[in-house]
Amino acid sequence: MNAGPPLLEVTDLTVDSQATRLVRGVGFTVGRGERVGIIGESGSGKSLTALAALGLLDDGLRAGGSVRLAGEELDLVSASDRALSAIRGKRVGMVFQEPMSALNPVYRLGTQITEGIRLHGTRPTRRAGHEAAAELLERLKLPDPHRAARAYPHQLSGGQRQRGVLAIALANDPDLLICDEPTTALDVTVQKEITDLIVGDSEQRGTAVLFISHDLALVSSVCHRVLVMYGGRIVESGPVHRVLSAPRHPYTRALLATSDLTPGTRPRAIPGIVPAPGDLQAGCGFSNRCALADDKCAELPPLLGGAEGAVACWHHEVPGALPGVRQPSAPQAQASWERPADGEPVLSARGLTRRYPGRRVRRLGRRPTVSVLDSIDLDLYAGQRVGVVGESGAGKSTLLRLLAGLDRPSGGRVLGPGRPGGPGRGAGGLQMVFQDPMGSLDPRQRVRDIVAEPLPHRGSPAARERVLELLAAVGLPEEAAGRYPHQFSGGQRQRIAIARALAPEPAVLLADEPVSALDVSVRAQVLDLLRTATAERDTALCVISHDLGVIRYLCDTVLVLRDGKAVETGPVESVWRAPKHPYTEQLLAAVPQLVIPDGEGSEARRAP
Amino acid sequence: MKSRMSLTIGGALVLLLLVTALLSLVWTPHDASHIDASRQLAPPDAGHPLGTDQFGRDVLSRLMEGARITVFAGVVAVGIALLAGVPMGVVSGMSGGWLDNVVMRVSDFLLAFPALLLAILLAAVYGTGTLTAMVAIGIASAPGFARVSRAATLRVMAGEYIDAARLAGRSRTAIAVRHVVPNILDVVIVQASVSFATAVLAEAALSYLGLGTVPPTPSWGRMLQESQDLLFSTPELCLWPGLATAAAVLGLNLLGDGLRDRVDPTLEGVR
Repeated sequence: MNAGPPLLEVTDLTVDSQATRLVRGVGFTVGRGERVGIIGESGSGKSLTALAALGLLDDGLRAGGSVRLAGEELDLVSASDRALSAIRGKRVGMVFQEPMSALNPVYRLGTQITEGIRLHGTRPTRRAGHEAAAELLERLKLPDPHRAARAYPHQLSGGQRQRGVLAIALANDPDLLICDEPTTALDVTVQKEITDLIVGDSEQRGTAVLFISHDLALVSSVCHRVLVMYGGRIVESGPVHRVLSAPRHPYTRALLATSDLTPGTRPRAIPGIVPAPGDLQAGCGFSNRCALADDKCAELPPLLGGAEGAVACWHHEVPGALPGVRQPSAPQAQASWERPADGEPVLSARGLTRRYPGRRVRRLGRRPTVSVLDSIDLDLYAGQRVGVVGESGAGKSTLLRLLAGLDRPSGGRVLGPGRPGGPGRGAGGLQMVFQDPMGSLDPRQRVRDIVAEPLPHRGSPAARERVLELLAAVGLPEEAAGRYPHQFSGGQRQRIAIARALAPEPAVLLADEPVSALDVSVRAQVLDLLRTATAERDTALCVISHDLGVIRYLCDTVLVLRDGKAVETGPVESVWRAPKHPYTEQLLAAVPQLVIPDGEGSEARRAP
Repeated sequence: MKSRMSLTIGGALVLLLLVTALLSLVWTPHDASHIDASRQLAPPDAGHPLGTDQFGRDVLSRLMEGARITVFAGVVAVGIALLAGVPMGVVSGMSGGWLDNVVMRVSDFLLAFPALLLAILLAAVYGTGTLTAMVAIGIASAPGFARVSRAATLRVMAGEYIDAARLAGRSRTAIAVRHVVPNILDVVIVQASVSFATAVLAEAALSYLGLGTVPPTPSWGRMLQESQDLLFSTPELCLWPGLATAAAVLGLNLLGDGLRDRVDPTLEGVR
């Protein structure tokens, strides 16, 4: 695997924007047929590293250092765009995060696949081109490849589109495939199919893979070797099994600890926030969030090491778990939540149905209806935490909007806060935390006004007092009240959103994918905040998420949705351990698990 | 930095326009309408820094008084368009459904109706004059404001903070005032500065056609029209009102750009 000269050799790569250095000297190699993962959070420079290697940086960004591809004379960093074009698509393929924007909406998929072949040498006839495209799609296990090759991107599902993008990347049998978060926009089951295809193709044809992701578990199931990036530098590298079983850098250790959402452990979040590239201090970039930091960390630690990997930390020899990072605690009572014998549900839905008018089959025919949600029953009791899981299109968001009263059901009804017969929207009412912490805060309002919005007497001194109290409760300083949302990081913004939702002391809190837009290192902070805040006041919580780990960590009851129907419901732990419905089983099997094998060559496995 | 420049230059030009207009109320070098047959087309001298026109009237004085008409025209036209168009757009964008359709079709109708025709119609009913002309321009510009604010409102309404505001128990009016309007302000300001400039030009055009400002009241448009025949013999006569119009329009556009960036808190760090 590592014999001979490396396929890709990156030396001292830097990327600069006008004012700041975003990638600060990165060096690594990728051998032929080797799969290397780059792990990092937003702002770590992982995507820029890959883009710089292909000369695909945006205008205004400059790359330095050198990137060499075996068998090519030129240095890819200083090469002209024209020279790079000969390499891109031919020797190096690229898969992007968003399959919709990576495909041109006005061309058929087959045309886009053959375009790559056409550009690099052979000029197949129209028919041969179509055949070649269909063949590629078949190799990527797309059902009915001929039809898919004739389809336009919007006629395909997300997974099919990503296979199309993969087909374009693989069209010329490249030596290296660069994947930038290739499955982040996809459902877990589709994610597994795509990564299986990438791994399968790499094994069969000896394609090397550079796999960029924020998901440790995913990287562990795909790659041989992993590079951990933080603040524009590689802080640790080595074989996957070594890095994940015996991480050395405090950041890697903390990241592993905080990623583990197994109930019963309490993953302590990494303190602080992921710094913006311009805010990095001199010396070790992680030192201000690190439990081991001391005076020595003001000096930049070099990346040192041998075959078993390298680490850039002065204190990497401190053994064991880091102080304050992971605190095992007794299994929580939440796992065995039981319906109060006497209690009335605070929110109750019966036969909830939502239909939308579909497309007419005949021009003057009746409009058929499409059911997005079909006869859902749901009871939410005080103190209960219900998780709703399902893939995109399962009706999760629709259910939540109906429960919130933001949308009207086509059938069935919701009894509870904000409804006829239920308490109003103030105290004891219903509030919601949204997915996108930027979009859910009015950019023109100060945090003070945002948080006070659901309060009955917004302008009063009492309300002002309450806002400060809430900000403190979600761990934000008092000065935050006077600032605007854009001055905060994603995790902080989500705290502001949570503070607003908690302001009127609601009886029911709904949360729509509350952590999916957040970095791993702050995810646990927000989940813990949601949990403690709702536990304090016995607030009922209903969370939707595509991430089963999040649901398992946060909730006591789970509802599995598929195509608008509830297929399984029950206590989280029992559904997790013994799913009754085959779909639930399939969902659970698709969740990538952190593989921390004892030795080499272990297969990905699912935690019990 | 760039937006600060445009704010400063735009502000200075607009301020100059306003000061000139105000000053002309109390003082001009000469009576702007006084005809002096002995001094026709006199070149600039100490008494008449910009010379005189073909009737012997002082050009500088007329230019100063013309600024009054320009400001008046812009304020009336943009004011009407703003007050009619923005609420139309916001209501339309927020309500959707049949109301949206009705409001937008009305605005399409107005958009299809030539502004000039409207001005002639109004002039026929209410008599010619700057005010009538500007009311016509204002009505004709309203659909533009409606369209722009509706599109911006739709963008804002798709935001989750609108859902959050609804869950907070905010009324529709409160959502419109507190969330929608502040967030569409940027496009409205740009539209206003462009419309102001258009109104200034329209006043000139309508006056030229005899549908706007009535002689002998000086307006930059009239001055342009009157100097047109003398373009080859005394070109400087049309140079002054032309330059003044250009400076006013440029100033308004720059001010609009600068203000747009000013009201955007996300650009605070950039500034």
